[in-house]
Amino acid sequence: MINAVKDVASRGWLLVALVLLWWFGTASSESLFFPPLARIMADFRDLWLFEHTLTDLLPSLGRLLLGYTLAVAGGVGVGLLLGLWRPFEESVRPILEFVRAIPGTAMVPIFMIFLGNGTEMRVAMIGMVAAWPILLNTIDGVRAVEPTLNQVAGAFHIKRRMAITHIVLPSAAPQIFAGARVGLSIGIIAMVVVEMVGRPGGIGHFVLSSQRQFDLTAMWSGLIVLGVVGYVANLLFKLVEKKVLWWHINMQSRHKEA
Amino acid sequence: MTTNNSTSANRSLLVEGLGHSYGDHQVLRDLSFEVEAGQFVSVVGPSGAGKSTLLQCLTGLRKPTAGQVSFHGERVSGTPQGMSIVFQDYSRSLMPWMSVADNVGLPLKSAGLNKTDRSARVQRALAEVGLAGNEAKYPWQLSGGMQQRVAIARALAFDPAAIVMDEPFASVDAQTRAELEDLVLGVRDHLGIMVLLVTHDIDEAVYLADRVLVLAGRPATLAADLPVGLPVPRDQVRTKALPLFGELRGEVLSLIQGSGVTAGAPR
Repeated sequence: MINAVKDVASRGWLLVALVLLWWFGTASSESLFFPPLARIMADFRDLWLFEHTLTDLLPSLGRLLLGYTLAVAGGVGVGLLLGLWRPFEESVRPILEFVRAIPGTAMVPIFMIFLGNGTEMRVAMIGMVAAWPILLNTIDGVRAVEPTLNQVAGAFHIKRRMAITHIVLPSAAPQIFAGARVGLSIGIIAMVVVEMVGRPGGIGHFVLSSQRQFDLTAMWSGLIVLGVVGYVANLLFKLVEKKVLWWHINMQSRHKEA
Repeated sequence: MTTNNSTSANRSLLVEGLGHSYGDHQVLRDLSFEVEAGQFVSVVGPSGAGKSTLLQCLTGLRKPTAGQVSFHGERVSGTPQGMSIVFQDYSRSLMPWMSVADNVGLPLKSAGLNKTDRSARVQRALAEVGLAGNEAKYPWQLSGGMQQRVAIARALAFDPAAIVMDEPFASVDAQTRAELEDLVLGVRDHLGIMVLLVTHDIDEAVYLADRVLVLAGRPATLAADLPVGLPVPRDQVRTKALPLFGELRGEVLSLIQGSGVTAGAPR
């Protein structure tokens, strides 16, 4: 218990100090751009508990979840196929590298032509941007399966399907997760960016329109919401990772001790 | 070709005129030998003599460029039924995301055995290698020697007539190595299976086997096929103190050195 308190204190002191500095440093601020934190928090309460949470934040998160799910499914699925099918992967690779090099957000205009400026376009953008790191990491992870394990699968007549589910995917999982983590954070970026164009609605749109209406207190409150969203998303990701990759985490900490 | 084989040949491993080249580089030339059911044979040769290539050809993991291998009277292409392999490096051949029981049981699961049969076979195999009670552990929670026992148990659970081992004790310490050697001898006596052990360690080859096949030369040929007349059961101290043991290891060593290749240092 005392250790837990110590732990929180040793990690959290700087954050607390900065928040206090912000709070008291801006307490008497007259600046339009840097309103007092107290007012931002008041706005935060008025706007986000729970009016705009329902009208803007939840729809945004819904699109993020859908887009990200598609990205994971597509990235892992296609990555697995390409990773297993080497000759084809080698010819696809340069194309993948080229397309990936185009900044995802630069694709917004073309996505708008085909998918409009509403939900479909937004979900598709989030999905596409988040899929790249997942796809490339899955390919690498699948290709990096220990050759001895392939021999084991052959020597013990392990069926192809079972070899994929029990050997290839678990072996690639640490790398897939590394890609999925990057995918999540750029998916959140994409979520905000695509809401700044097109139809109104969503947290990104809220931040931009608040700024345009010179309601900077509301804008700041939106940024705080986004910070919380990113933080919680990462926390949830870590929980899932810990559950799936516990063997990998334990194994590595053991190697470090040894 | 199975029609006119005798019963004994039907239960054995038969190698006829086996050769292998990687492109222009010939590694193995014209190897012919037979291993009978239940026999313990060591294949010894210096590092780089083509031992691994030979092993891969024998187990069907690699197609030889000349000659052929048959097991139980059938030509080998792909690892034949009834043959199990213990790979050199347990840290590469076991799956760290699976418990010991699942590692041993995966081939059985793939073969379609139901849960009850599977778990019975897994238990039996683990007991055979002295690992009963470790089913729920993970490979990385075990010592190196214990991990290699898991790999041996996986080979045994497959109910093989023969197990082929590729330098199986190369990555453990000397103490553990002696333990594992005696474990394998015990298993062979208990189950009466054929064991084919590939090693660069002359002492190990002589100590364990009924017969030692010496690979030497470049490309490697069969330099000798020596029966090992050492009394059984073998004993790490007494067997190795026998004059015959010294003579045999000397003979193998001179065969290998005579080929102009230095005997491999332990890797």
